Amino acid sequence: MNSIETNHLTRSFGKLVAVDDLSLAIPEGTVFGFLGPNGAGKTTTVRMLSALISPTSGSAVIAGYQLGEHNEEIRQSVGILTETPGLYDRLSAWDNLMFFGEMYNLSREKASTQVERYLRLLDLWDRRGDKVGGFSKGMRQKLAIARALLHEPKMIFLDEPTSGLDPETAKVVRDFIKVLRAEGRTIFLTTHNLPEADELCDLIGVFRSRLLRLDTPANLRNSMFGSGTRVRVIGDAARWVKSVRALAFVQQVTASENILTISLPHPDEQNPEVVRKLVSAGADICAVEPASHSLEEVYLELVENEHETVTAG
Amino acid sequence: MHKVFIILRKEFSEILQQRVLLYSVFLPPLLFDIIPLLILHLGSNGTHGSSIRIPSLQGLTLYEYTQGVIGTEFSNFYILLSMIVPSTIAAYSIIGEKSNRTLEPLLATPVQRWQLLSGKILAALLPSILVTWVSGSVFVAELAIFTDANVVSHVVTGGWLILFISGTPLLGLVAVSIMTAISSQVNDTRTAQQLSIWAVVPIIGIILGELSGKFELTVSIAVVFDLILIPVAIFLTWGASQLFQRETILTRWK
Repeated sequence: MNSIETNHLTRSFGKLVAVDDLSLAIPEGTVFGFLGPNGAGKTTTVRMLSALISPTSGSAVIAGYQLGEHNEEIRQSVGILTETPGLYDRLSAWDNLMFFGEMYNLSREKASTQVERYLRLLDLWDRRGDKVGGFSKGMRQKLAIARALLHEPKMIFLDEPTSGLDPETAKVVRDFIKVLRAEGRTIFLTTHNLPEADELCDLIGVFRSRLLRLDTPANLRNSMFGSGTRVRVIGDAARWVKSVRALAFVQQVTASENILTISLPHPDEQNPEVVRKLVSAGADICAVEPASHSLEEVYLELVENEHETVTAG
Repeated sequence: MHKVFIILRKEFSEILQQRVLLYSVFLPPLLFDIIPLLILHLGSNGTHGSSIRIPSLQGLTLYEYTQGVIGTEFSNFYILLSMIVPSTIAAYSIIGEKSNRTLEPLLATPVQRWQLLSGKILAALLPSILVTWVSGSVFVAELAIFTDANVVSHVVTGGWLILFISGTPLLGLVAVSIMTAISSQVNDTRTAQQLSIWAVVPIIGIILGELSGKFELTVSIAVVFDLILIPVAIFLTWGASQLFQRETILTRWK
């Protein structure tokens, strides 16, 4: 079953189309990375999917509820971490969470239990009586994450959860997201941190007003750049490009300093022949390893291609 | 209804933590109670007749008349107070949510618009009604203790009492609704308060009219004023509720 299903979801503000014809299906228990540049319409999408604003056209089913018809049920079923933590600075951590717990229809007793649980889980229990205004950015972010989880939603929207956090706190947050994934919750993660998306996400959507690609991180990398091999040699690698290119099955060769990156359709079968060719040509090989492209390279390629298409159009 | 109380409780917790807001709420009524007391006690010896001619004070001696003028001037401040206090609280309450960016997480909860707006309105209205009525009652008690018996009945007229009891909550509602509208367009509390001052201009006009002797706040005029205020308050509250929609707050509020 899908946690989110959208069909041609569109949202315009006057002449500006912020979200254009978005159709996607996110299965339950998936960590979905929603990537896109600033102003791409990601926040508008999250606001639509959490029943905060309505679409101009199209439809969506969130956590089994039809958007527009059961908005209150949707809001009860999802948790949301907004771009800024949005906490009441003059209230204590405890009072902040109790307030939101009750707003999510928890009884005072249940809210109290949940608040204690998440304050302990996120290592904020000792600071529960302190005013939030005195909290560090990381503590505020953890508190905002706790707020999004108090009512145990199956579906969670996290907008830039590690943005601006120190590496240690960012890791705590990432580890916590892994815990949530292990509990089978669906996570809709908006982030600019591509290594983080690569580490956490099962499915990635690259978005710029419309969905450019939707796939697993591994498929995205392979489909964009193909598979390949990286060979480290002694000296300038550019000397051996011609020799490798002579092999019929080699799709592409690039050299950078002492590294040759070779695109191959079947690296496991073709690597021995590549190595033989290089050795026979006189290359001194230090290492042979799979060539992996980062999600960042894939993302930049997609977004830049889209930009060129739009500019050319 | 339960969520209205939850919001109300949170609002009161926040109000109690804001020293500046507490000063703004409690200082004006305190001054309105202390200043007339000082003037009545120290200054109104009756040797200087007032040049103001107030119809409701006709028939008093020169000494009583002077006390009556002071009493009438200050009695009207309590009507004004009912607009000043709630707009101050509403400015902090709504603009505070905006500047702290707490509105979006709050709107993301399964709260209904009327519950949120009612909580906000009541949080501003209830303390203001309480402050207005308590300080107004203290003022009436001061009049009873420190002026001649004749003066009280000439200052605390039926018209004033009607406006004081039933008009002040309506004026408070008008002030909160106007402040909600202002809050949708500005991002700092001071600007909002400065803009909201215009809302009290009609009331100042009425006060000046009474003090200049051109207008007397009789029972019938107070009732007519209340009857006009009811639809005005309803209309402005409806307008505020239109501005207080999730979509509008997130996409059109500045």
